[in-house]
Amino acid sequence: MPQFPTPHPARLALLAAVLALLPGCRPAPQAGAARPALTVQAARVVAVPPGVKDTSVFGTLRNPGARPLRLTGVQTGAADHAMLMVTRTDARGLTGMAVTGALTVPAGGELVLSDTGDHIMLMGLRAPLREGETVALTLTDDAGGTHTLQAPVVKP
Amino acid sequence: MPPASPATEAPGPPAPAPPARPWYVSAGLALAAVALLLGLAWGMARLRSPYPFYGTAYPAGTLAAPFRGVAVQGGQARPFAFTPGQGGQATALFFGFTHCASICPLSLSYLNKARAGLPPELRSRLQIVLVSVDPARDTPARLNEYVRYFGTGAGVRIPEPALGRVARAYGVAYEKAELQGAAYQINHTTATYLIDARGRLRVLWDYTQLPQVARVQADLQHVLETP
Repeated sequence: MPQFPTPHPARLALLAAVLALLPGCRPAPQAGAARPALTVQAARVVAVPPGVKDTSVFGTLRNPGARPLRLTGVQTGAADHAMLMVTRTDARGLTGMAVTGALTVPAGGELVLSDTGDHIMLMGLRAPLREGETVALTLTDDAGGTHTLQAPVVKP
Repeated sequence: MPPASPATEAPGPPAPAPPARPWYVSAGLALAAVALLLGLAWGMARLRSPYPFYGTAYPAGTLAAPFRGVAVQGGQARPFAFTPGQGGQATALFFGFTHCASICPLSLSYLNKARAGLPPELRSRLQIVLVSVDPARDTPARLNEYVRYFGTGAGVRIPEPALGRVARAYGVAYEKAELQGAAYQINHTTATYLIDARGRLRVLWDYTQLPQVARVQADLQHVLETP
């Protein structure tokens, strides 16, 4: 009979019973979910005049989970292209935006999307944005999870 | 007979020692030297920055460069000549473009907010001017729509190669940057230049400083009050 280093089923049952009886020990809130939810604060789309087809989305993304959340894509019906961007300044002092493959929200931490750093860019707005209307965006993470956020259009 | 040379002359008796300088003259000279040194240091400091600006101060007397372009004025595109200090106006000048998704709209917004916080009599003496670094796509009408959406000011189109000369005069650099699968962007330096009512460059703020609207406003107020 082959030897497996497996604990005896009775011991496992005992362990489970003891754990269940510990007052502070509850199953993690996200136990059944595929991954922890991302929460968003102060999400906003920068209002631009009707002739301008490009704008940015800012806000603060919080990751309550124990693992970093790597965002790899963003979609919206409001624009032809939605892109994850980083702001870079080179050695000559030239500042510009570059598309990035991923933005990471640290475990138990936050990622601030702002005009001076990482942000989401919308290019080719399909209709002029009106102040106060809400734009829906869907972020995709590298594990296939999706996170929807509602960002009102705000004049800076 | 060889001509007599002064070098070969026999040394004469030693010259008499100069009369001793009275102590009070020495002390006076020393005091004068210290005073001169302190005065120079003070003068240099005043010259560099007589006021503790939040932005970066220019050396006193740095002249701002004039330029010409086209901007919408009174509803129509007309020649726009920028003569620094003309009409007793101070100018907050920056270089950007309307396809810019984040820095340019926010720059306009911050500058308008800083101006709005000034006392009314100062507010009217400050104009905001955006010069486009993307003249290929930015028409005067488009620039005007952009600038006026975020407040008031002038959006100026300067064609190449004149734009390059104006940019160099202000220490501005810009270059086209391709964005994958989308329209191009322009990478550019992001300073805003404050020119006083006498046409002097007084201070510049990097873009990352502009969100501190109250501190920018204090700089504006000082320059408007001490042209």
